[in-house]
Amino acid sequence: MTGYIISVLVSAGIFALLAQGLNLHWGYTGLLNFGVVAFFAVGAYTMAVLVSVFDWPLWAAMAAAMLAAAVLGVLVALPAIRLRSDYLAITTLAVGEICRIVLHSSPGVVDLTGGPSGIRGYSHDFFGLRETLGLQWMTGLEFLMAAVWIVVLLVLLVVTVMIRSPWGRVLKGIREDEDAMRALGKNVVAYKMQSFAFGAALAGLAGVFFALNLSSITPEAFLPMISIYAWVIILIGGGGSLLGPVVGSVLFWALFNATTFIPSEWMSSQDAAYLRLILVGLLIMVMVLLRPQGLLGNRKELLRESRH
Amino acid sequence: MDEALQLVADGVVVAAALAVAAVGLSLIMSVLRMINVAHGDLLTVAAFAALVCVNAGLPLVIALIVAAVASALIALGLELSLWRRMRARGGSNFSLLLLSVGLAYVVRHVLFLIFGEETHQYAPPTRELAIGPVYMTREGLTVVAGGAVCMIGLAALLKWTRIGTAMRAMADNMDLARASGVDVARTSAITWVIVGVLTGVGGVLLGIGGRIFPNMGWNIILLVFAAVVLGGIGTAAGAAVGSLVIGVGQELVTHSALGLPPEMKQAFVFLFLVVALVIRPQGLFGARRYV
Amino acid sequence: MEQPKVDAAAGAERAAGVGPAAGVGPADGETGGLFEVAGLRAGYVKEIDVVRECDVRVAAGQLVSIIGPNGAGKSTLVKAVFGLVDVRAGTVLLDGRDVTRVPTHHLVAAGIGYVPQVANVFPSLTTEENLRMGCYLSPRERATRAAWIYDLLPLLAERRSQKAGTMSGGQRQVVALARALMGDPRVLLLDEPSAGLDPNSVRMVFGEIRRIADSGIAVLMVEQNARRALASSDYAYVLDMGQNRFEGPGPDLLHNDDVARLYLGGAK
Repeated sequence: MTGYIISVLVSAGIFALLAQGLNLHWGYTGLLNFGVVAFFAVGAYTMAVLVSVFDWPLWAAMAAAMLAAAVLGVLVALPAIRLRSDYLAITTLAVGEICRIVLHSSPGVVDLTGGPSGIRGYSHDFFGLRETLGLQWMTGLEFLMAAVWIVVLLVLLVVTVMIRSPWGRVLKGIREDEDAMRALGKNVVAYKMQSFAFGAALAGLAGVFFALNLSSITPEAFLPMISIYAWVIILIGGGGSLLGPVVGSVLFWALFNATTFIPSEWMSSQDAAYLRLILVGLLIMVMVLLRPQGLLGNRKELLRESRH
Repeated sequence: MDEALQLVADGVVVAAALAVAAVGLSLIMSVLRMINVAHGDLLTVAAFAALVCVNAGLPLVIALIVAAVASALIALGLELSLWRRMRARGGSNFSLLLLSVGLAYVVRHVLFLIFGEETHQYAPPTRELAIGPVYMTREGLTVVAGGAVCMIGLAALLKWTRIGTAMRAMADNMDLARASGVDVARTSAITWVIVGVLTGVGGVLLGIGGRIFPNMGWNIILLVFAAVVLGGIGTAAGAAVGSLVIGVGQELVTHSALGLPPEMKQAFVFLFLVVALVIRPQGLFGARRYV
Repeated sequence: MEQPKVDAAAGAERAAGVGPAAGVGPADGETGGLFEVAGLRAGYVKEIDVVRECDVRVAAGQLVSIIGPNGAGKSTLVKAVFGLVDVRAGTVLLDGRDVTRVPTHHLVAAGIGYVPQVANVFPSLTTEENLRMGCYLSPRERATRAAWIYDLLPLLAERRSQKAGTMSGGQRQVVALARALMGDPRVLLLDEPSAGLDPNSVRMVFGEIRRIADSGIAVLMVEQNARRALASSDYAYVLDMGQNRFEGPGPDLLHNDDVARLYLGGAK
C-alpha cells in the first residue's frame, strides 16, 4: 500500500507540473496544445544529455532544460497561434511526434541521445544530494517524491503570484475578451507567446523529474499518450483553476495505478494495462460529456462553440 | 532511376489505401466540421472484422463486405449516441475532438485486449509481378484498384446524387442547407454511413497492403490528416491528390541517395503537415474555407 | 400606447401592373390575404425581446418592405417568422393556417422561402446546383421551375455552370433569390438584399425583386436602404424598438414628413 501511495505521488507530482504548464496554455490563453509531450521530452533530454555527456551540474542542466523547452514553445507558438483550435491541436500533436522521431533516429541527434537505446547515467547527482542533505534515511523514490512536491508547491506559488500580477490580469483579460484587450493597446500575441513559453518551461521541468524517475530514457517514453494524460488531468481538475492540475493529477494517478490491485489470477498485468488505458479513454469521454468544466474549473464556455 | 520508380510504385500502393482513409476523415471534417481522431482506430476495427471472417474460412470479398457493413453500423451508432448529442448541446469543435480522442483510446485498447499485440495477415503474400521496370505484389495491385474504385465512386456520389449535393451544401453553408429543407440530422447520419463504408473498405485495404495489428490505424492517423490538409477538405479529388503526394513523397525520402534512416520518413511528413497547416490552413489545393 | 399611424388609404395609388391584391393597403384576410404576422414577440437571449409587438401582412403579388433604424429588430422579425429565432408570443399565418413555431424545413415545404442577408448561396456549388438545392424537397419539379427561373432571370441562364463563389455580389444575390424561388414559395422573405452592393447592383437586384413580386409571389423584404426600398414597394412598415411605428403604401411613407425626419435622415 505504501508502495502504491509513493508511486502515485511521484507520478502525480511530475504530471501536476506538466499539467500546470498545459493549464497555462489552455486554461489561461485558450491555446489547445496536444503536443505538450514535445516540451516534456526536450526538457528530459536536455537535462540528461547535458549531465551525462557534457558533465554539467544538475542545477544548470535543469535551468537549460527549462530554457530549451521555452524556446521550442516560442518556435511552435509563433506560427501556430493563428490556427483554428482543432487545427492547432493536430499541429501540436504532429510536433510531438516529430520530436520523438528525431530523438529516435535523426542523424546527428542520435549521437547525443543514443537513439532507440536511450540515455542513462544522469541521475547520480540528484540522488547524491541525499547524502549532502543528510537524508539517507529516505529511499531514492521517497527523496524524489519529496523533491517533486516541493517543486510543485513552489511552482504553484510562482504561478499564483504571476496570475495575480498585472501580467496575469492581462492574460485573464485576453481569455475573456481578446478584442477588448487589443483595443486597450495590449499586444495580445506577445502575452500569449510569453504564457506559452512559460507553460512550455514548466513542461520541460516536469520532463526533468520524469527522467530522474527512470534510470534511463528512450524516445518510446514520449508517446502522444503523455499529452493525452496531461489533458485528462486538466479535464478532471478543470482548466484555468490553479489547484485543478494538482488535484486532477493526484486523482488521475490514484485511479490509474489502482489497476495494479487487480489480482493476477483475474487478468495478466498486460491486460490490466490495456484495461487502464480503456479507462483513460472512458474518463475523457465522461468528462467531456458530463463535466466539461472539470471538478474545480469554471471554464464551461471554453468547450462551447465560440461565435465568430 | 529504377530505385526511384520502385519507390513511386510502393508509394502509390500506400497512397491508394491512405486516400480511402483520408476521404472519410475529410468528409466528416467538411460536412460535420469535426476532426475525428478515432478515425484511424475505426479503420483498425474494420481490418480486424475482416480478419475474423477470413479466419472463419470466408473469402476475402465476403470479409470486405462484412467489414464495410459493420463499420457503417458502428459509424451510425456513434453518430446517434455520441456526436449528435454533443452537437445538440453546442459542443465546440474542440470538445468533439477531445471526445474522439477518448473514443480512440477505448477502441484501440479494447482491440489490444481481444487480439493481443501480434500482427496478422489475411493471406501469405504472393510473389511479386514485374510490371515494366517495377515490381508489385498482387495485393498491391488489389489495393490500388480498390482505392481507385472507392474514390471514383465517392466522387460520382458527391457530384451527381441528391444526397451528395446536400452533403456538399451542408459543408458549404449549414444554415442555408437547413433553410433549403435539408434534414440536417438525417443527412449527417447518411454521411456517417457513407464514411463508415469507406472506413470499412479502407481498413481492409490497409490490411491487404500491409499487416493487421491494433495500432495500425492510430499509427497512420497523422499521415491521413496530412493528406487531407494537403489536398483540401471535403473532396474526393483532394484526398486522392493529398494521399498521392504523401504516399509517394514519404517513400521517396527513403531513396538511398539521401541516406536517411527509413524511420525518419514520417517525421518529414509531419513537418510538412505543420508547415502546410501554418501556411495554408485550407489545404494546398483547397478553397479558402477553413481559416 | 397608441402608435402614430399613417392612414393606409391615403395613398391608394399604386404602380400599374401589380397583382390583384397589391396596393389595397395591407392584405385583408378575406380578399386573398396570404401572409400575416400578428403580435409577434421574439428574441435571442432569455428575457430580452428584440421584436416586441409586430404586425405585418403581405398579399400575393405584393412587395412589402420593413424599414427602420439599426437594431430595430427587422432581421430578427424575419428570422423569427422563418423559425430561426425563438418566437415568444404572437402568430404567423399562411393562408389562414397557423405556422407559428413550425420547424424551418416544414415551412419551406409549406411555401415560405427565405434569403438570408449574408452567406445566402452555396459558394462551391454551381448556379445549377444552387438551384437544385433550392428545390431540394421536390426534385421532380426541378426542371420546370429551373426553366421558369432562367426565363424570369435571364442573367442566370448564362451562368448555369459557374460556381456561385466566383460571381460578383449582385450576381450572387440573384442566385440567392433564384435559389429561394426554386422552392416555389408563395411567400419570399428577404433579409437586406441590397447589403454590401454597389448602386448599379442595387438597382439591378431591386429590379429583379420587383419582377419576382409581379409574377404573383408575396415578397416581404427587410431593408436598410430605406428610400430605394420604399420607392419600389407596394406597402411598407417602419419598425423601431421592435414595434410598428408607421405603415402605408411605400411612396406615401417616402413622402411622409415624420418618417423622413425620423428614419430617412431629414425631411424632404
